[in-house]
Amino acid sequence: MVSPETASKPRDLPLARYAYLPRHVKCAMHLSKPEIVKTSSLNSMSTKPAKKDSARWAGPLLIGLYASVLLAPLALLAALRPPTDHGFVYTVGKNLALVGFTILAMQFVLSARLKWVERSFGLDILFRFHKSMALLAVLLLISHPLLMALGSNKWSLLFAVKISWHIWAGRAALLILLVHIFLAVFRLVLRLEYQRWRVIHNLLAALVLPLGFVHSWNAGGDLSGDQEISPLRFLWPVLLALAGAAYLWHRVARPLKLRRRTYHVTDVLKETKDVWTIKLAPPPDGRRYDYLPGQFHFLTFCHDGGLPAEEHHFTISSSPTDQGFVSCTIKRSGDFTGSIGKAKPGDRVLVQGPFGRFSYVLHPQERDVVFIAGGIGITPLMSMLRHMRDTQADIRVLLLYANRKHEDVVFREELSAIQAGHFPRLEVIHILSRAADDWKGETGRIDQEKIKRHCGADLAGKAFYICAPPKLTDTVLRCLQYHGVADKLIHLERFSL
Amino acid sequence: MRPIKNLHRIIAALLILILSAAITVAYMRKQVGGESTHHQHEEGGEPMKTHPTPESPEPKPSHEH
Repeated sequence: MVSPETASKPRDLPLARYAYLPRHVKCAMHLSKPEIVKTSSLNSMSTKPAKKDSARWAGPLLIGLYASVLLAPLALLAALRPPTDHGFVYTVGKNLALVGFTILAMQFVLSARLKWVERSFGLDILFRFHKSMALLAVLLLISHPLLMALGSNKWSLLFAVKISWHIWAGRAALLILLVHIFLAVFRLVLRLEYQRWRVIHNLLAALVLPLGFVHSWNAGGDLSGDQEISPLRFLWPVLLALAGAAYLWHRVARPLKLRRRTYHVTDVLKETKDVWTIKLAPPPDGRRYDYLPGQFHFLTFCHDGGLPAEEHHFTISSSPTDQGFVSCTIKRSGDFTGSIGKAKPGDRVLVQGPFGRFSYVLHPQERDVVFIAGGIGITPLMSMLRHMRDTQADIRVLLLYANRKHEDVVFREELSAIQAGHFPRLEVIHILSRAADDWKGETGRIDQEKIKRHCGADLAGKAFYICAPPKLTDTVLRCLQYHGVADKLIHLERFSL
Repeated sequence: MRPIKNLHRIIAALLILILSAAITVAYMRKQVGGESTHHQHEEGGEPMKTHPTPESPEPKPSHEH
């Protein structure tokens, strides 16, 4: 929220404190203009729109590029107009398959965690998009044989056993794709363990695309070279190579690169009975990677430690102003996190990050914010509060922090210390669902009444940062929408990707 | 919050775009096919399926389905 009083209020914060921020973030914060850096403070800059804000256009440009790639096969056909003797419905069926295959190829690029793609949207949004596009591809690819059979009136295409091998390749690709999607959508219902599902997901993905390629290359009239003009014969290998390169980079090359620069555990601190903070330091000759408060990273403990060598994502709880280490605070909630307490100093860890856009730094115009945390959801918010404290950010923060019991409250003392300080202007409201009899604070759950009472009349003008279990998140969202809080002022971090 | 709403809009827009493009291109190719068949009727009396090459005098169907 921008109020005239706060927007014009001068700050004595030296901009050098933000020197560690990545370039695209400085750009988003309008910190990249030399003339502004010389003359203004961060606060006044935030109200001054930059003339060339490349970060603002990166997202729409990428979306446009993606749509162009999806439509490239059809655009080529439209431009060159190779003749066809097939009927209209049959040709529509073929066209849908061309786009379906292109979507599948691009799925590899979307899921490769490429920084230049992720930074405009956030990885959680990108993965949701990846999932939605997979469903769309299935829809198109199921329509493909149905429309072709309907268009040619040859229903044997769907059921015949004695049929060309490349038709069988197409059938196999479609069947594997359906299994692939089914497992992804119903993983939780099937109680399929995440790591096992991930292995299956990656293997099936690596099968579907080559099978689809073989099928379309041999069966597709526009690809098989029967036509005088066959523009797709050039596009198809490019798409396959693009997908293969993204897959190899993500699965092979990057892990090897990370392995050459492993971090190591320096401290394992027990915060509460089931929450630990793991501090990680970069290799002695290396610099810690830059991140924004509120972002997350992927950790893989190496085999030589006491933990399974599985990749998991965790929110960073330290502030980027802490030099020389990065920490994450982890609650025991599953097979892997149940053994997190076994981590010991010296354990080597592969760290890939940072990811996400859940950071107040990306919204410098918001000076009156409400943090809503449920349990371990405090971690990204704690990273932001620590950053606000260290950079002396003059921001008013109301923290509504829900836990079961008083002893479950993570960072209790540090929050009290920040509250006692001047930066940020923090007010912490603890809400306990199973409070002891002598508890004098709020009890029950975070609900509409509590949000309204603590936020006051100006609820719609505040910015909200929510990191909580799904049920609480939905409750808060309903409340905020009811009170007319603008979408752009609501920032969410969901626990799972 | 906002990006998720936008995400739904983007996916809906992509779906509409893909379906429109698939239908338009099919229609365009049908028009071209129709035109060429018409000319071939006038010139040779028999419609040609595709363009035969010396190596394969009898053109294969463009799709084996």
